[in-house]
Amino acid sequence: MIRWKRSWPDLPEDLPLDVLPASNGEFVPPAPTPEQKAVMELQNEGIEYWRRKFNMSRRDFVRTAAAMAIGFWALETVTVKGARAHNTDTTAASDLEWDDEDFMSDFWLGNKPGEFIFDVQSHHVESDGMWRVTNPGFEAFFAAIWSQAGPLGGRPEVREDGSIRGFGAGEIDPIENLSRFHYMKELFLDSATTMTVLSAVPAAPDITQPLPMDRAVLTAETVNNLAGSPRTVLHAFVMPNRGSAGSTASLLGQEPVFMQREFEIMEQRAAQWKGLIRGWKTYPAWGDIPYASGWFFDDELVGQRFIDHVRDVAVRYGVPPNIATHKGFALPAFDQRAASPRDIGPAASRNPDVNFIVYHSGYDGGGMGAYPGDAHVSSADRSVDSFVKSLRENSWSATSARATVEGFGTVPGVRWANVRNVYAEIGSTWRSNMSAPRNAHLLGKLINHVGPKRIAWGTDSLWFGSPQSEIAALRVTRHEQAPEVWDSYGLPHAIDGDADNPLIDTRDGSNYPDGKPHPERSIRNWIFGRAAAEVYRVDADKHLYDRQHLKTALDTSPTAGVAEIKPDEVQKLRDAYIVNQYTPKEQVPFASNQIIGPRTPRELFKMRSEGPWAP
Amino acid sequence: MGTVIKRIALIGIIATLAAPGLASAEPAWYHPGAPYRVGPAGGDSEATMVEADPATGELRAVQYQVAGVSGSLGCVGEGPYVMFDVTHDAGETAIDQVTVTYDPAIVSPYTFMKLSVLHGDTSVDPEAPYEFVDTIDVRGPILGAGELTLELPEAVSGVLTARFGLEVTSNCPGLDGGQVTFTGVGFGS
Repeated sequence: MIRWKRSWPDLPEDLPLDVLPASNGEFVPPAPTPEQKAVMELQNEGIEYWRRKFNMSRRDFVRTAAAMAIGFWALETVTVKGARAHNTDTTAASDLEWDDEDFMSDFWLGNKPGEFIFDVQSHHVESDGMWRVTNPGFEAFFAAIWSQAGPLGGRPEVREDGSIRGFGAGEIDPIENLSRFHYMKELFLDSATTMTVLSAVPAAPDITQPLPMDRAVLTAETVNNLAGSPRTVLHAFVMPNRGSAGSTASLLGQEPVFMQREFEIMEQRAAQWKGLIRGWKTYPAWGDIPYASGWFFDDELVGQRFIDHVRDVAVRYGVPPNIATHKGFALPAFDQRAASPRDIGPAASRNPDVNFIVYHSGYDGGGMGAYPGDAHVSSADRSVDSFVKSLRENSWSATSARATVEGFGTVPGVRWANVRNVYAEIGSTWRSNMSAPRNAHLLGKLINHVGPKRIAWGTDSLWFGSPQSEIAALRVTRHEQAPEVWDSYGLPHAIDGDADNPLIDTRDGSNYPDGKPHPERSIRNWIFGRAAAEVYRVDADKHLYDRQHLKTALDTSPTAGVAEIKPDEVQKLRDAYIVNQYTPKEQVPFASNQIIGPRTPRELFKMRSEGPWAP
Repeated sequence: MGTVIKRIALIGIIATLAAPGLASAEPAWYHPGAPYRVGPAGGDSEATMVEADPATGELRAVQYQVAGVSGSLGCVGEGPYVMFDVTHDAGETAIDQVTVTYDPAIVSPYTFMKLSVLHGDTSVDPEAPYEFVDTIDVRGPILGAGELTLELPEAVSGVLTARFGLEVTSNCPGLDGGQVTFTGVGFGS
């Protein structure tokens, strides 16, 4: 058991669920709403009440599963007016019932039955890489943008006792907070994540890349060697517009200078790291000329030739024909017009044998309501609705027979089909929309228009630290939080519905021939990992670590098959690291519990004025 | 066989051969005026402008956001768009392509000229149920006269609506847009 020692850096005592406005550096944080203040106040009261009952210090208690449960209880009490986590007669924090395993399991790090969490959007940087010399703008960008590496968590200092405290998450070198070490800690120890895709950021050639390809391979091999099974796979960044004279140049037939070189690099990487590379990451809004070098997938000269090459490499090297593409958030210097998901519909419909995994699902901040109708949406904007519109207008949505795979909904107008080759990834989008009723609108419209088996779990971690609160938020998402909204999407069981037929409740065993509940069939568990597992060619069932699965396997077959599901070294590390596992006092001893980004306009502008800021 | 009978037979054969061909080969054309209706239009209330005149077939969509930074610092959120709708009842005739003609067009590089075909009738209720058959869009720059043709993935019959116009990507700072006179729309095969 790991205990905090006095000589170690101070751990913050922040609440586990922080709902107050925070900026990632790209926008002015709004003033906190009365609702947000109420959530924090209620959460604080509950935590103070229960930490005394548990006879724990605040520092220890805020890192427990019970504290996380109190956070979500407070959120629901304020926003939904009908919180769970208590008996049916009262709503007071003092009535929280800690001996309910079904309730507590939402907040433990152990996986729930059928739960395979596959985070397909994770990042870290090589903290001592050449890029810090060759691409200094990126370092300033990280320092300014990502809370983990920002200076707002406190400047380095030497305390009176001689101990040293660093930036952000505690490192003297702030970029170190985004390093391989923190990646492995935050993803595999501080959260219930089972498997990751280590993705890339936009920079080429590789010498300017914050995570050069061979360094990404080192991370994957470190994780996989430790685990004894593939826990981390990779994207390779491709920039087909490298050397472009601007977006409009391609319209004049001018090929980007280094496009062929990029294609050659794809082949080299495919040959060298065939088993690890499972997709190609693109940022169509990123180019050599800031604000002007974007490209589109339906552009014949750049986009279609890149797609053709992905197909060719898939045939020749066996790399899955997966295009992971950033659509939505328009970061500084991005040619934001090419961050629009407008081109997904036409490109996907013309290339049905290539998969398009749409990162952020087109979201660029702002509200989240019902799809307002085709007449009120432009696919050329950046929003989830624009993404939906792009699919719809190209007859390539989940309600179009032309676009869909077999199963429910192969007839036009019938719901619950799945678009053949388009996946909606929800990294950062989920984080911005995980309280009711926004969560219901986000997931409801994606389930309806892209498909219940076409939502891919991503979190953008490590940028925002551990994804555990996002995982807990999906676990607690249910129909009662916003019944009218879920019903409006035809989802009477919300994401507890069966992914093949959402009208069936997977929690009710009477719906199945074997008379048992089937959580592994739920839309929630398809979102968590099973959807992405298909496209990234991973066998989800061989990566299950939930207690029930282990118990069942051991009961039914004491020897056969156990090796496949035996907890690997990564799991053993996590189990050893967690204190009081599977109890209300389950504690993640070094959880950072902090959002360090600017919380007010004054903090934002102070941050901007104190350092260079350029991508 | 008498001459008259031969002529009648010949005319009959020609009519038989030609009738289906004529039905599918001759597009039904519509021009500005009553068949044109203003379809979907929108965009941010600030820094965008859309106009459409069904009588002349002329429409324009412009975004003039000159301040702000990409992302959320004062940047425009919704680019302008404006469309015409023209509905055609094809009956039993199979339609497999729709064409719009324009003269003139002035369209900037980040503006899209777009043509969608909807299986359904929006002439009475713009929100009436329909299915998108397909869409094509062409990115600017576009100058002068021309045509945009959408070949449908499969032939369709019944009531169809062609929806065509301009869509401008949201952007800041940016000055984008276009003005087009759509001179006609044809449904045919």
